[in-house]
Amino acid sequence: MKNLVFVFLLAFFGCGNNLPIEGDFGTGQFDLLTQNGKMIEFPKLIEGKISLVGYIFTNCPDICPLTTNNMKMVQNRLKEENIEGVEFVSISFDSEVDRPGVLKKYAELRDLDESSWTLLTGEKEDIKKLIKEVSVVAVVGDSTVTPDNEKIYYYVHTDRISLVDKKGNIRKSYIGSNANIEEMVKDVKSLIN
Amino acid sequence: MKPLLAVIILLITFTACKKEVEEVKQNEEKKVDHSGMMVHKPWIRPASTGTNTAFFGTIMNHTDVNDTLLSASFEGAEVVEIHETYMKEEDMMGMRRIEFIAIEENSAFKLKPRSFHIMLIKLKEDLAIGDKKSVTLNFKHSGEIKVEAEVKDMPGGDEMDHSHH
Repeated sequence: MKNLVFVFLLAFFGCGNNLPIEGDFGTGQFDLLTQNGKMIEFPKLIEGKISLVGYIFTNCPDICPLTTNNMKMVQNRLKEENIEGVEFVSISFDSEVDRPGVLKKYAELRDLDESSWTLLTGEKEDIKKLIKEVSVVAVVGDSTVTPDNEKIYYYVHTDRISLVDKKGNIRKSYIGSNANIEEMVKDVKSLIN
Repeated sequence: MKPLLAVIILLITFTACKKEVEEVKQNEEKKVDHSGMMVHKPWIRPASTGTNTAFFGTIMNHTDVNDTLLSASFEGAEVVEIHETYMKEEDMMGMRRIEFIAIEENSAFKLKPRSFHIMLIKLKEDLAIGDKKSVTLNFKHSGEIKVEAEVKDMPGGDEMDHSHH
């Protein structure tokens, strides 16, 4: 019985760190567009890399910029400590508005280091399937109508950053807009070691 | 003994006068810098043309009257509304328009991330880090208060709310 418990614990925690496997992005590949308009396959894009993945829409004025900024602070911390090979990904769930050019501008205005940061958009149905794999929800909520009768809508959405290991397993989920930078840096390091 | 007593009396008088002068000065400074309605550390998040962003800052009501923020205006946006961010479930966040914000007399109200903010909708121009933009808040009693806000990624110190709603 003791041996069984030991085997279970080893399988649960595995690989010398204590972050259990929470899930993954599924077995399929999704054709998505980067902020530079390049078609890529996801999650193939992050295979073999430790990644932090955030879920955003660019019309979001509060939660999503906080999520992005928290990821940026982690990216800066890792650079300061000369830790390489960690990828940052922001997946937009507002496919209609967030085309590659919009995502590019979003990255530039926030001075994101795009050498290790990819912002992704895609077909509405693909994005819907992709975020469903990781239990991220995004539904249209309130809206504003401009003087030109344009309807601008706001999403009610899961506020999350996922930590993904080299095998594509999600090892931890954080409240994206309120994540603790030290905790994320420590967790990333634990997957490297 | 008499000269010593005189010196002590002079010193006490001098110290008292100095203290009084300082109090008057402080009160004058209060009148100049902290009277009426004002916004402390106003700032706006960067955003590109056509998208939305938010204005934050601490509204300080130094008057003896309860007041109400009724609306706001910003030339660089097509629509400006008062909004609040709310938590729907454990980790689901949303945002909705509210009609006004009541600010009690001699109190402060924080427009802050993950909470209340002024929503600048459909920007007519890019707002880049370091830019300074003028936003006007319209109060029921205090009237229009114009503030200059800096565009930046994040606030400093206690302006960030780390609590969950």
